[in-house]
Amino acid sequence: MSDVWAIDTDRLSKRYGTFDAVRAVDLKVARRGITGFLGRNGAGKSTTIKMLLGMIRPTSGAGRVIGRRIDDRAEHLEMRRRVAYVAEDKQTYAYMTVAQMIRFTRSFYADWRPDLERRLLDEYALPPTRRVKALSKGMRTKLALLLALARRPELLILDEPSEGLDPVSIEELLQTLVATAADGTTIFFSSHQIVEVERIADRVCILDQGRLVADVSLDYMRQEYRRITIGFAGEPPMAAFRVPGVEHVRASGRQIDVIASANAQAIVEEARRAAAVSVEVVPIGLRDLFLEKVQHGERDERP
Amino acid sequence: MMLAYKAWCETRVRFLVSAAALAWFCGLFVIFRPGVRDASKMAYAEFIDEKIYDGGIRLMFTVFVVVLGLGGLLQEQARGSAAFTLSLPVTRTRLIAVRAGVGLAEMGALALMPALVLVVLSPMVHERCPPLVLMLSAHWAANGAAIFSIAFLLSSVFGGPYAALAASMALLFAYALLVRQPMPIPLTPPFTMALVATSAWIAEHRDFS
Repeated sequence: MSDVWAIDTDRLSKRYGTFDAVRAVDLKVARRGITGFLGRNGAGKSTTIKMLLGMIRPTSGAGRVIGRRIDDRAEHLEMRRRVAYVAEDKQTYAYMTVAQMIRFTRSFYADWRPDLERRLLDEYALPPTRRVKALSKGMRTKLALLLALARRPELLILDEPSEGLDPVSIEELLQTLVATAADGTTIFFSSHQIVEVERIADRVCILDQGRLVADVSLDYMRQEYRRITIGFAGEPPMAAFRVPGVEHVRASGRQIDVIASANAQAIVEEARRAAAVSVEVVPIGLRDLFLEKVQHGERDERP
Repeated sequence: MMLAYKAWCETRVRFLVSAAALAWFCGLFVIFRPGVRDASKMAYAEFIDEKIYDGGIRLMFTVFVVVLGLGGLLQEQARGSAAFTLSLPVTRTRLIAVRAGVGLAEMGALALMPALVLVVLSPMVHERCPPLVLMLSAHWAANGAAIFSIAFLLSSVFGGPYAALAASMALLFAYALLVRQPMPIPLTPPFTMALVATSAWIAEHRDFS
C-alpha cells in the first residue's frame, strides 16, 4: 500500500453472519480529484465507507486512509483530524443551534478556518440561532458541508450527499464539491445518481453485491469504451469476439452487442473478417457502463 | 470541554426536571410535615432520615438516576447523529468518560438536592437543619453512582432507551429483593469505575452501522 492514494484497501471485507456485505474490495482512490462510488441500494457502499472511517470493523482485509491504517486506533484518530465525513442523513445534534454546532465542531480542529466558516455561513444563508432539528434537509446538508469544509480536510467523504435534496440544492451541492476539489481536497462520494457522478467525477468505482466491479477514469471511459452493434446474415460467430478489450458480448438473433473497454477498431476489423453485414460503433456513457457492470458483475481491470 | 457541553445539552432536561421534582417533594414534606404519616411523632432528624432520605423520595431519586444514566452512542445511532460523533477526532473511550463524568456530577447534584432544600426550608418551619443531611446525601451519592453506572452500562448494551431503562429497573428490583440493603459505600467507587470502563470497552469494540 502506498501514500499516493487517499484511500487504499486490500481485500477489505465485511460479513454479517452468512451475508457478505463487502467482498475483498481493493479500492484505490488517488489524492486530489473527485471519485464517485456508485452502486445500487444495498451494494455495500455505506458499509465500505463506515469501515474506512472506523465505525465498522472489517471482518478481514486492510486499508489506509490518508496513509493511516484503519485498524490502528492511534493512526485512525490522526486520520479523523484530516478527513471530513458527511453522512447520508446529514444528522448532527438536533438540540443545538447552528451557531452552537459550529462552535462545538470548531473546538476539535486546530486548523479551523474562521474566514471560510463565515463565508459559507453567508453563502448558505444558514440561520445561526435556529436549532438543527428545525432545519430542512437541504439546510442540514449545508450545515454538514460547512462543518466539513471549514476545517480544510485533505479528504472529504460523502455518503449519498444529494439524497433527499431538491434540484436547486443538488446543483449547489455539486458546485461546492467541484470548487472544493479545485482547492486541493480529495473528494470521495457515494451515490446511485449516475448523472451527478458523470457530471463531476474524474473517476468512478462501481460496487455490486459487495464486489468492486469497475474502477475507471471517466475520461478513459469516454475515449475508449464503445458499444459495437454488429449485424450478420446468419448465426453470429460469438467465438470471434473473445479478444482483448471486450467486456461483454450479447447476442440477439442475427445481431450481437459488444461492450468494449479498449481496442474498438480491432473489434470492428474482427467483425468485418467474420462477414458482418453492418457495424455500428457508439460511445457509451456511465449509465450504460453501470448497467453492464451491475447486470453482469464482471471484474474490470484498472486501465 | 465541548464534549462535556454536549453531554450536558443531552441530559440537562432530564437533570433539571429531576432536580425540580426532588426539590418540590422534599419541600412539600418539610412544609407539610405534620400531614406526613407518623412524622409528627418523630424528632426532626429522624423525620429527615426516614421520610426524606428514605421511602418514596429515595425511590424517586433511584428512578431519576437510572434515567440520567441512559443515552450514549447507541441512542445517538438511533437518532442518526452517531456518524457525526464518531467522525470527530476523539476516542470512544473519551466520549464515554466525559459523558460518565457529566452524568455522575449531575447525579451528585441530585443527591445534594434534599440537603439544599432542608438548609433553606428548615428555618421556615422553626427547625435547625442537622449536619446529618450531608452524610445522608453522601450515602445517596455513593449508591447513586452505582445505580448510574448500571444504567450507563446497560445503555451501551441495549439499543433502544426503553430496553435499557427496563433492564436497569429490573436489575435494581432484583437486587433489592435478593440483597435487601444498599451496596456498601467502599465498594461503590470501584464498582462504578469498573462498569464505566466496561461501557467504554464495549463502545470501542462494537460496530456502529
